[in-house]
This record gives sequence, structure tokens and C-alpha cells, in this order.
Amino acid sequence: MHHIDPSLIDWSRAQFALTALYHWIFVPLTLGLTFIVAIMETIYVKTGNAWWKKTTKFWMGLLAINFAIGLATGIIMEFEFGTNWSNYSWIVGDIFGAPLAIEGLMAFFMESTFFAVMFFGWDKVSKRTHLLSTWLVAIGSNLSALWILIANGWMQHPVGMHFNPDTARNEMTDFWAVVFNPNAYTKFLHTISSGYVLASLFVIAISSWYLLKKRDIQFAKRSIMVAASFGLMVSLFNLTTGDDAARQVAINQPMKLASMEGLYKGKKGAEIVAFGLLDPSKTLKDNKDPFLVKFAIPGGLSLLSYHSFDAYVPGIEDIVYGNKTHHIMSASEKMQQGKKAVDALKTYKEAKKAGNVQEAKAALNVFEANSKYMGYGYLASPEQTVPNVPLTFYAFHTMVGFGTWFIVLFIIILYLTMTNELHAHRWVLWAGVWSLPMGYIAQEAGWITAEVGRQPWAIQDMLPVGMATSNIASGSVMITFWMFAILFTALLIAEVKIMATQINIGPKEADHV
Amino acid sequence: MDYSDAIFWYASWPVLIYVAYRFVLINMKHHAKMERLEMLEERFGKEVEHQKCEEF
Repeated sequence: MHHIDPSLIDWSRAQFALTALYHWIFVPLTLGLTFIVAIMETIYVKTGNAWWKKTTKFWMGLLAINFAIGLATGIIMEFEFGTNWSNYSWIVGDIFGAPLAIEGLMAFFMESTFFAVMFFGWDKVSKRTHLLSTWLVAIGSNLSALWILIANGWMQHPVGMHFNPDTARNEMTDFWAVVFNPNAYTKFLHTISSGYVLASLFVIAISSWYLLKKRDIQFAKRSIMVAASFGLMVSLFNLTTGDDAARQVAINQPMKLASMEGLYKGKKGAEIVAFGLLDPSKTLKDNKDPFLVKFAIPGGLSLLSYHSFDAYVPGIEDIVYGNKTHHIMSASEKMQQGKKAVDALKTYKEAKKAGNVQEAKAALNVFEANSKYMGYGYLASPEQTVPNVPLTFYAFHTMVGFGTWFIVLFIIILYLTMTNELHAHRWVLWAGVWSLPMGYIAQEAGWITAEVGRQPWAIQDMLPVGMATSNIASGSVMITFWMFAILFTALLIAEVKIMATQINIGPKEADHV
Repeated sequence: MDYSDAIFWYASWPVLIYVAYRFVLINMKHHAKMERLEMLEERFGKEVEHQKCEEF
């Protein structure tokens, strides 16, 4: 394997992170707002009340702005697999490409086609056809997320494939194992439901602002009622799926779980940190307390991970240096096996090229005996297996903390809406407004937890990011990084400005959107 | 391979949407009553409101 410039890896990672983070500003709102709009339109069709049509059209206008910009950032991200991550695409393209292709053929075309009917077809198709189109946009955009998250779930827990030593590629052997991968369905359900929570917060924030300004009061109250009802249901579901997702992380990515909790030494009855400040000077094996201050719930992490207060949860040091008592293999042992596999693969290819059948067969046997940890063969040190612990820890706790607050907010707002007292509690309205940026922060924090926590792997335990990049000049990636940074920022500013204008105009003019 | 867990969880997605939709409808009905009470209160005053309330 050729040497890859470390700055190329860093710039490639930075560019993908930038694109993913910007893309994820737009997508979750689309995932949720499509369903909220579909519910509002269903109420319109069922009741025949034109007021609900006006309401649907207002929120649909904001959805359209968001949808268009989300699309632009998503397409760039798919191209980056080819431009910046061509080794990754070569090694796992057979598996990773399949769900992305299905996403394009099935979900993306479905949502795009019916989006046109939904947005432009109000006076061109019947009420019921229009309603069907709106629901198909909602289902299509979520199916789009399904296939992308199946692909991402596979990166967290690769299944249903085998490595072909002749082509040096992984090939899919079981499509259904990829689709029904536990990491895929937990990730899908947790991610889409978090999008529904964000969309509910979006509707609540704008409606609360109208109430604070004492304008469009009936519109705002009804919109809040829909959003708070929808938001409460989906946020409770989000909590359940979060629990399931955490258990999958505990089983398949114990290093990520240990980093999420700042757990350096494994223990039985491990506590869960509700709030904590990490000691920035903490290093592996220094025996220092990782926390400057913390509030923890005893046994909480064991319960969350394995549904038992006494369960053993491995810490970062156990995974790096091994723990014989708990049968945990050290990273250096895995690296030794991995290097054997890498060398055997090289010998196999050379022997095969030279026509030496016996040597090729022997090398293949060595390779197969050690191939489970081949990815570790490309690592430079055992400590490289540790992700950025503070970033993973704070991102995870921000997501969980904000997510808990959103449930409380939905309960309070729904209660006050149902008792018709919401307008009298201005602090709740302000909380509704300010919870929207918190929703966006929680979304990004969730992705940071998932992706930073998986480092140094592009594919868990299989392909380190350093081996996944394209062999191109780091300067090219750096230039395009800044180009995308400027472009995405301009798109974001454009979206916020257009949305602010529409919100200022308000629902009265929504018929002209 | 046993995929029953995965099938159960995937199936929970449309169920969630349906349950959330029904929950919105239930709350909307109650909210519509509240709106009507508010309207009656504005039109007839508080005493009439209590009499009218029984009609729902």
C-alpha cells in the first residue's frame, strides 16, 4: 500500500464533515415537516375547511425552500465518495453502492416527482390526488433516509459480505443481512424521529413568535396544537429508539460507547453521567479521574447497555490494552493479526501472479486465519483506536440533554394549548422560539456522536479512514473545502433570508406562495 | 437468520405515524371545542359560556 499524505486525510475528513453537517441542517426538517404538512392537508380534505388549506400551504412554502437546498448539499455529498474517497468506493462500493442506488431509483425519484404535484398541483389535480401526492412526498423522503441510513448502519456494523482476495474488494453475500442490520434499523428510526422532533420545534417556534407578536393568533394556536401533539408522540418514540441504538453501540462499537460516557476503566454496574466536565489533561493509563466534576446515576450505563445493573461495561483502556478477565483482546494483538493478513494478501497476489499455486494457497490460508482484523494491520499504534473522547462525550450529552428538554417542552405546550392558556405564558412562548436552535444543535450533535465516535474507522474495525481516501493532492481538497464552505454558507444565508421573508409575510398571503 | 426484531422495528414506523396522526385529531377536536367556548365567551359573556358548555 502506498503512503498517504496525512494532510490529505485531514482535509478529506474536514470536507466530508462540512458537507454532512450542512446537509444535516436541511434534511431533518424535510423528513418531519412533510408529515406535519400531510397531516394538516388530511384534516383539510376530511373537514373541507379552507382554513386548513391555507395553513397547509403556508408550511408547504417553507418546506419547499428547505427541500431545494437540502437536495443541493446531498448531491455534492454523494459525489465526494468518488472524488475524495475513491479507495473506500473501490473496497466497499459493491455493498455501499447498492442501498444508495436503490435510494436514487426508488425514493429520490418518488419524492421529487410527487413534490412537483404537491407544490404546483393545487388547482390541477383533485383534492384526493393532491393529498396522495403530499403523503407520497413524506413517505418518499423518509424512504430516501432509510436507504442512506442502511448504508451508514453498515459502516457502523459491516455485515452480509465477504472479502475477495483476488480483487481486494468486499462483495455483498446477503442483501437482507444489510437491510435488517440492527444498526441500520435503530439508526433509521432514531434519525427520522429526531427529524420529526425538529420539524415540530420549527412549527412551534414560528407559531410562538406570531403569538408573541400578537398576530395570526388562530393560525399560530392551531399550528402549535398540531406540532405539539405530533412532537410529543415522536419524541417519546425517539427516546425508545435512542435506547435501542445505544444498546447496539454497546454490542458492536464498545469504544464509541466508552467515549460517549468518558469511561476509561471498565466496571460492573457502570454509572451513566448525566452531567460532567472532562479533565482536558486526562491521558490513557495516567490513573487520573477523567472528570473534573460530574453528576452520575449508579448502574445507569450497565442498565442502558445490557439491561442489567450489574453488567460489565468495558472502558477505553480495556479495549486498547485488553482485559484477560473479561476476554477482551488488546488492540496490539489485533494489529499483529491484521499485519499478518495484510502481508499474506500481498504474498498471495505475488505468488498468484508468478504462477506459484502452492505458495498462493499457503498465503491464502494465513490470510483467512487473520483476515478478521485486517483493518487493524493499517494502524500505526493501539492508541490510534481511540476517537476524540471530549468531542464524542460532549456531543452525546448535548443531544441527550436537549432531547429530554424537548419532551418536557412538548408536554408543557400541549397542556397549555389544550387549556387555552398558552398565550398568557410568554416565557413558554420564548422557550418555544429558542428551542429551535437547540433542536438544530441536537441534530448536529447526534451526527458528531455517531461519526466521530466511530473514528479512526471509515468502516468499523475494517477500514481506517487513512486507507479510504483518494490518492490526490491535498491542495485540491483544501481548495474545494473552502469553495464548499463559502457555497454552503451562502445557501444557508439564502434559505434563512427567504424563510424569514415568508414568515414575515405570514399565512395570510400563503395562497400566493 | 432471524430478522423478526428488525421487521418489528421497521413496522413501527408507519404505526408511529398513524398513532401520531390520531393523537393530533383527538387533540384537534378538543381544541376546536376550546375555540368555540372562547368565541361564545366573547359573544355572550361568562354566564352563558357555562350553559353552552354542556351542549358539547
